[in-house]
Amino acid sequence: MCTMISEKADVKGSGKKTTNWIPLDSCDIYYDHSTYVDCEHSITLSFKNEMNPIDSRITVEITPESAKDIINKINAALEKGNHIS
Amino acid sequence: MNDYKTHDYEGLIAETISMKSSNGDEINAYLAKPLTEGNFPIVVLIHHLPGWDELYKEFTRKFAHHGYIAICPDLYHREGNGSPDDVAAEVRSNGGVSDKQVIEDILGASDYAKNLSNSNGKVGLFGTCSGGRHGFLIGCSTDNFDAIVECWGGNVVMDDASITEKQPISPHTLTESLSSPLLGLFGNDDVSPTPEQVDEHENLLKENDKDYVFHRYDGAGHGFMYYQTPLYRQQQSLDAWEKVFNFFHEKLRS
Repeated sequence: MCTMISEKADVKGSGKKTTNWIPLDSCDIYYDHSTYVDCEHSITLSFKNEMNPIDSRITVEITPESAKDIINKINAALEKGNHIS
Repeated sequence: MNDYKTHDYEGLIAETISMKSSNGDEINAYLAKPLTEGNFPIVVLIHHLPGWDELYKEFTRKFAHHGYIAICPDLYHREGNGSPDDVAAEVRSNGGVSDKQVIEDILGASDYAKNLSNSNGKVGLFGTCSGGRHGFLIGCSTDNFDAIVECWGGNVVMDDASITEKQPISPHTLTESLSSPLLGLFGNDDVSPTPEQVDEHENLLKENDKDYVFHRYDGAGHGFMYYQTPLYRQQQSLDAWEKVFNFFHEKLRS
């Protein structure tokens, strides 16, 4: 069956739906069979606002390799940002 | 398989209905049934973890096309409404739905269909992924069903770390109580269930002298019948569908 591998992160941020930005306060991160991307398993990031946890969702599905690359690039950007703040 | 000829009249109705779970809750279900005369067997479809989605509604109509009253309850109805994948994401975030509630919903769907005037009273279960696990679990927890198709049911064999309040029992420990013939379809490249877990599942069925048949496909993994995903394997899927229809024909129409 599909996995139940799921993590949850508290988020303070915003995201863009089709035309407008909405506040986001949580992100579900799960590892499971892919829905669309062409690989066996993928990482899904599903940001949401807990006040409206279904319709507020902004979701991306990426390969595990992409997820690792993004983690590294976020850390690199954070490190560079720390130098100027 | 469907033995219709091109000059035969065909017709079916497929619609959303409201039904009662055996616990009394009103939930939605998708019902598809032939419009032709006859007494038809029933197939209750147990949708997968990704939700009450377009694929499962297509599967429901497929069974009706093949001469079954097919009903697929929305097991996530209580979690709210929205696009199926967003609802499923919320269910996943909340740790899934409880086994107890799923059993109650499936029993309610079965009762609803049995009360239709053109039912022959025989009921099969069909489930994939978490629905495959639920199908086996229900077969071990009730004696209401005449045939069960379990497609790649992972977590039929659960380790202690996987036990939760919502999934308190590993279904394989209930094998002795299985009350229905079982058809199991698995891909040998699957990682949930792994081939070793399918071995353990099968060994218990053998030890308990259960009426079962397993088919295990090379070159296929999890979800190999999901034509809309990269998991799809055409030849294995076509063969599996033929086995499903032959099994239900034998168990539900005799």
